[in-house]
Amino acid sequence: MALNLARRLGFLVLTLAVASVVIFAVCAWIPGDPATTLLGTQATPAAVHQLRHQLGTDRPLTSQYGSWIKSLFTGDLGTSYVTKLQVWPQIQPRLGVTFSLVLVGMVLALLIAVPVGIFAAVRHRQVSGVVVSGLSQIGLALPAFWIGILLAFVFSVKLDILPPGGYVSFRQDPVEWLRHLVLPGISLALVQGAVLSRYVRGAVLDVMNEDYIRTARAGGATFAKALWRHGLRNAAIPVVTVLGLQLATLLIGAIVIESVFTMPGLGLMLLQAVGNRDLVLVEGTVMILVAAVLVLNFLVDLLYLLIDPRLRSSR
Amino acid sequence: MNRRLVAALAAVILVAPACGSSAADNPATTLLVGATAEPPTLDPTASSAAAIPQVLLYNVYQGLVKLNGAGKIAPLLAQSWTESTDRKTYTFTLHSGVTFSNGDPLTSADVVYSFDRVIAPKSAHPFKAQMAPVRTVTAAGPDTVVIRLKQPSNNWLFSLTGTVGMIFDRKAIGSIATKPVGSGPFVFQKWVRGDSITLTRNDDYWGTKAKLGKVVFRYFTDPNAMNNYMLTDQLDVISNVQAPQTLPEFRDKSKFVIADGSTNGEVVLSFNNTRGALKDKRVRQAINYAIDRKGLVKTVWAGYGQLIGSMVPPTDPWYQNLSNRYPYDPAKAKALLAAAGYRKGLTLQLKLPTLPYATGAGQVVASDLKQVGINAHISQLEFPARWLDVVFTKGDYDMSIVAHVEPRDIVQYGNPAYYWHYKNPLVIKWLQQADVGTPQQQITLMRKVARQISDDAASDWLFLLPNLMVRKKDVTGIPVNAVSLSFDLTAAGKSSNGS
Repeated sequence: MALNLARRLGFLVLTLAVASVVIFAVCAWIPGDPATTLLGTQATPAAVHQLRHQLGTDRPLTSQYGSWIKSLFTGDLGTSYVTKLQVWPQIQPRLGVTFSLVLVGMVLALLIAVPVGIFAAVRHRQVSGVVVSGLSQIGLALPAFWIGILLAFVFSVKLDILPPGGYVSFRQDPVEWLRHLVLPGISLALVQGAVLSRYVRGAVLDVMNEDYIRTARAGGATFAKALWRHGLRNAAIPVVTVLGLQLATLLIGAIVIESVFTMPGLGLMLLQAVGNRDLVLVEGTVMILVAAVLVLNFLVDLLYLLIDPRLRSSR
Repeated sequence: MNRRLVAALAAVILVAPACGSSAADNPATTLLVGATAEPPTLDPTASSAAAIPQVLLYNVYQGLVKLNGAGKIAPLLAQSWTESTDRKTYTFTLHSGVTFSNGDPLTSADVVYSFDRVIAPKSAHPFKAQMAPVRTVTAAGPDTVVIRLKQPSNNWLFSLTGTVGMIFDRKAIGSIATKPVGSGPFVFQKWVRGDSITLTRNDDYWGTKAKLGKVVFRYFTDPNAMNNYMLTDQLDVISNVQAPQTLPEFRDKSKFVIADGSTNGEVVLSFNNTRGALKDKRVRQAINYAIDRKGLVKTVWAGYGQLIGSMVPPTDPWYQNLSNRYPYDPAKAKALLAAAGYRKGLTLQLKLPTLPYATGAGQVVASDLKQVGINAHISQLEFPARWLDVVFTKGDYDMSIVAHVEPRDIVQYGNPAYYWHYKNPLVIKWLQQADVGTPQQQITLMRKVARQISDDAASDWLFLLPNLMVRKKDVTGIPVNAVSLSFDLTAAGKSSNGS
């Protein structure tokens, strides 16, 4: 168990190192020059040249990467080209927004996916099961931003019961926090929930045909009881895997949803930073996001160990 | 699950009043402004983003002079100024007793400091070129500034009304990117990134105090979201409508007023005047004849926006109506193309920035050009970074579409290095003469320039972006025309008798 953990931890660190190279390389490859973008259509070539020197973007890439990594090790993500502020203080107030959005989105997605998936699996030979299954296919095809625009129009503009956008932190007012997250959360969750429900359905279908369910049934348990006591825990493993993988999709979905509901989150900031070619800010933000996803996936790995005792013994 | 708990939770979420932070504010003197682009930084000397002067120019930062509602240069921090007879020495007399919002006095030393900061050899100021005529800036006493020029320049004095003329507090320059300190009627309060910028009234303002107690600029990346805020009473003004097709949402005249003024934003179909077929004036003229601009404005911007025919908005003193120089005439376009040797048609790149008006206009332009045998090959470039790189800096394009929003940017037709690479020695000479001449000479010469670039079909000026504003009925004092880049709130207020 300890060895297993150490191996996974080592792998995590290695992945982070590779990620830093990839992130830096991609940012260097993005066409468009930060100094030119900053100074616009009235700037003289001399001023652009001067600014490039001030930003340090006229140095060789290896030297730029070197100083970035060096500052990363001291916990300093660097200073933004555009805002001239440290990167971390810019990310920090926005983490809460995106975290809340992804959290609410994920919880709602699970609340949708688990019952729908189980229902569709149990009734997979009946009309109702097929209909639910088909509806989830449609959910898959709907773009989150479109759902967002529709929800905002109905619940904010027409019915006037929920805010059309913005964000209030949990600490400031928990009720308002939730009120502001309902519509964006549903927009995210409908699509994610549809995806997830397909996996839940598949997993439950697999489990239903397992021997231990038949055994439990033979022992006198009702089908529902057998599924509840023996089936769901086994069905949870593939679903948790997909949930971990979906985290990245959820974050991408959050970028779009933050824009539709004007929430000052990480996604919106990242979009603006790429637009402004504030590469230091982009690199810092993406590094944090990648680290978050990797660490969460690492935690999901640990979660397996809790769900499935068979994995606890290291090979 | 406990159904009663769920029901109670749902009730709380749906019924809870939308209170938030607005409880402490006085809505009668608070103006909520919706805007589209958030400033990337608050330092106007480090970025050319128009969103910075939109909030800060005249409201927070002031210059020696400003552009008044009629588009004329008017005194601001300078109560008066004199020109030497050779028009190369300007002596500005400052208002006395002016202070910055942090209490520091504003003196001639701050003017010298601010201008020297622009013209310093190491400066990377985005508008440095506008200060090129300046030789020296000196203080002659605390209230007097003497500026000596290399040659007389009307454009320089005009540019002082914009970003390049802003006067900064020497002692507060360190926080310029995050905490602006100016001398204007409003004080910068806070910037919640990704959300809003808040200004409050400067109660120690040296001039006529603002009527509004507080102004909040809220930023939206999605025009639908901005409309929703306006429709649910969470905005007082939409500063510039980016989707005119949605204006019918505000047709309720008892609540909303739609204002349609003019801006300095000429939507230019630019030609690379040094590339291939576009070197030939007849081809450029043919394109001008081939495009139905009236139809284009209807399709792209819901019919809002004036046809201008040259690079001059109607608010400039040398405006003349040139919109009929090239009436829509596909037959004439075909004849001109044939005369230029393109009877069998030709293919041109049309590299469009990813901006709503440009992508829309690009489609119309391409389909109009197809009618006369020009195959416009459309590609999209992310704006601003990619467009600036490919089209503006490298000049790797045949045609593009972008709005030039800076006031009086017609002068760029005298700069052959500018991305449209237009070069006419007459235009260069007239622009220089207009710059050094008397105001009357300037008007005469600028008219000649505007006509000449139109005759040469240096570009096709598709239309002038309108200053489309939606405001609540009780909002007053916001200028209809955007003559400068400032969203000037100096005289704005809310009338109590409005509904």
